[in-house]
Amino acid sequence: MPRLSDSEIQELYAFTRKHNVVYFDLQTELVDHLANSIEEQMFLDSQISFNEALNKEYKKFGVFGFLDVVEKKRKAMSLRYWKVVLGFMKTYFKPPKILLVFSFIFALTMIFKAINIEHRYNVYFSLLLIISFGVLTFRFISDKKYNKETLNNSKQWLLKEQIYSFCNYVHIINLIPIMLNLTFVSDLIAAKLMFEELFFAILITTLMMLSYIIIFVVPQKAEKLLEETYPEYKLITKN
Amino acid sequence: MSMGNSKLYKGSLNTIILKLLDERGKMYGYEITQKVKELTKGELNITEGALYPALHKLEAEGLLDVEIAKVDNRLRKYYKLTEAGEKETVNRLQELEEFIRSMQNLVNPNWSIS
Repeated sequence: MPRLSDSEIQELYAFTRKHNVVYFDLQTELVDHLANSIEEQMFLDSQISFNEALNKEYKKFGVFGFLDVVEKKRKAMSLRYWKVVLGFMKTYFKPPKILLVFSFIFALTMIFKAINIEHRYNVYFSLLLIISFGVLTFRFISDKKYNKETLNNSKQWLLKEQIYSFCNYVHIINLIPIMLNLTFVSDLIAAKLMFEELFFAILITTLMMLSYIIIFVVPQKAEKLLEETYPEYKLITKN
Repeated sequence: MSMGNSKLYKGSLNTIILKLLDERGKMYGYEITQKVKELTKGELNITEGALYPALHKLEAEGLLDVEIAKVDNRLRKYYKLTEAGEKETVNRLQELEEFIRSMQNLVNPNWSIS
């Protein structure tokens, strides 16, 4: 079986980059795939050139090429990311932390109850906005840090990018004030149909815990998570 | 190959991958594509663009684990079943067998006069 040279392997890396695969782990997997196919084609047909064989194999990925693979990889990685976040979240629902969480919810409920019903909606809304702005500010800082780091290091890792950009949390949190601005929600509150103080106390506490985990806890554990996710991470970053 | 045929296979791509890994221990992406094509005798025209997303999803679900090895002058990513993956393989194969059995009954009912 013919074997591709080092420079041909580098050419394949360049090929994946040219076709919108920016993440190193995905590049590596696709390079190995392409290389295997090219070697096999060259073995079966000694006349075929490297580029011909490469294009033939690339066509098998369909009209969208690698785009679909990258997009679905992103989805799969988000799932992993949220599993990690939920894992940390669970630790808040075990003693002794759970006592703290419940007392906080109770205290918030009491404070909301003490506020005049006419102003309550504004209070909820302002608190949610403050959380939203807080997350956005930290995202801005975190993005800057990530960009600076990746500038020095040419290899990009999808999970690292998701950790530092808080995955899709920013989109989720920005939707909440918009959803609450819908008139039917404010009508519900005004009509006193729900146990609304408790509902908002739980919502705000949950968002605060989630934000804390996503902004501080997960990035702190980034290196460990990356090593667990990518067996090649240590290999590459140590060299 | 008819379109319907390919659809039937597509639904079981994950099961085929799990079963393959169960039999062979660890495999890499290219090896899996070749083996799947061989097993389905070309009936299942799974594109490479469908195989990798399926692998990555199974990995994210915790059913597969990955290993990296340097082979020749490049890195190779191997997939293998996790413990949860082994259990899931048994479940899915059972489900598939049941499905096949009920389809057989539907296609070829066992007429009996009692």
